[in-house]
Amino acid sequence: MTSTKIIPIEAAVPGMILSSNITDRSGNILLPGNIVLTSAMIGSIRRHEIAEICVAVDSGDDQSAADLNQRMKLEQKLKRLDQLFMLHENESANLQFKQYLINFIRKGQQ
Amino acid sequence: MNPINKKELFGHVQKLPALSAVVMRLLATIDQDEIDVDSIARQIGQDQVITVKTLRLANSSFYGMQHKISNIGEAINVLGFKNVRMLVASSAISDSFSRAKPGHFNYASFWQHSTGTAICAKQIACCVGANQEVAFIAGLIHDIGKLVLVTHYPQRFDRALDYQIQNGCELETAEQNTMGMDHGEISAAVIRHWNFPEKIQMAISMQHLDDDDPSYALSRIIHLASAFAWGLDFSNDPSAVVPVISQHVWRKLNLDEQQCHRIFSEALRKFEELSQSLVN
Repeated sequence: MTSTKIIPIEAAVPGMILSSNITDRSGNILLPGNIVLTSAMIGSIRRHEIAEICVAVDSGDDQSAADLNQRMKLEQKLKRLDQLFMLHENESANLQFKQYLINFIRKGQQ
Repeated sequence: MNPINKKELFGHVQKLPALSAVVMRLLATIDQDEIDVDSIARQIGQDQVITVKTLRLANSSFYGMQHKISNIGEAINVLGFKNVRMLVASSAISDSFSRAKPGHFNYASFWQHSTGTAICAKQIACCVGANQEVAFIAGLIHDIGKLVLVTHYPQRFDRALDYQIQNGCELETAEQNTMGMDHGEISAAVIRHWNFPEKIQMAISMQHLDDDDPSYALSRIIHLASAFAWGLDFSNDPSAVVPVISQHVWRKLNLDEQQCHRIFSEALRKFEELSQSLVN
């Protein structure tokens, strides 16, 4: 069973799942719900001075452990991608290829 | 810099073991429309090593066959001549690769990258309507110059690797700066020596990536396939990096995200068993 919980942005860690859209002061969507947070996204939320976010939490312990495991795997994969692309990350074709891979990895985790 | 004597190096290439007569004959048919399939099938059947390997590949999950294929003639009937030609050529290439296996070199990693590039090249060729079998073979063999380097110039190759790490550059740059040539040039020489069709010789030479000429289409596919294989981390090499992808190639092949995702998942799905079947 999944429920949602409001947490202060200080408690947010990469791998958590956002349960609803985050909007800026004008109501524009910054990040859509159901997305896995990365450290870059958390930084961006902080820059918009948003104090609290709504994340998905699991009520079952086993499920939480499995999810945490999966999130860690996701983090590891994304970290490895950063290493692989480190040298030429600003080349435009490389940038697009990397984004395709990130989306592909995330899709596989769902 | 301590440049390699090119004459000496190409002498080493000349001494590489030749591919068997049937493989040479098969490769020569890549551009032909009328082929005497029966006589080629009989000839393949006489080469035990190649036959066993080809049948193992034909029966691997790469093709997902329901029942077991037991001879070359049946493989041609079920998979088609083009596929069997691709499998025979791959078996012969991997066979000569493993015979040249140098002790201190990370051969497994090299082989995994080559296999990953071959699978990605076949998938990309499928998306852009190019010859899939030729793309696969070209992908498999694109880095073979590295094997010649590590076999005959192990210390200089190690120095190039050190240079790459110290300067955070690509291997080709490191090789040029330490040896005065790169493994791409040597790969092209090996492929010429083995009399591979002109098409594959051109594909390996990466010096014309920005050329719009359609005859370099395969070259563009191999360039992107190799980058895909690095990005999908097939080599399992901690120092692996994705090289610069030519913007011209990216635009020219023009694959959208959905197509790329299909290529990634097919490549990941087929990689493990194919690399096992080829290497053993």
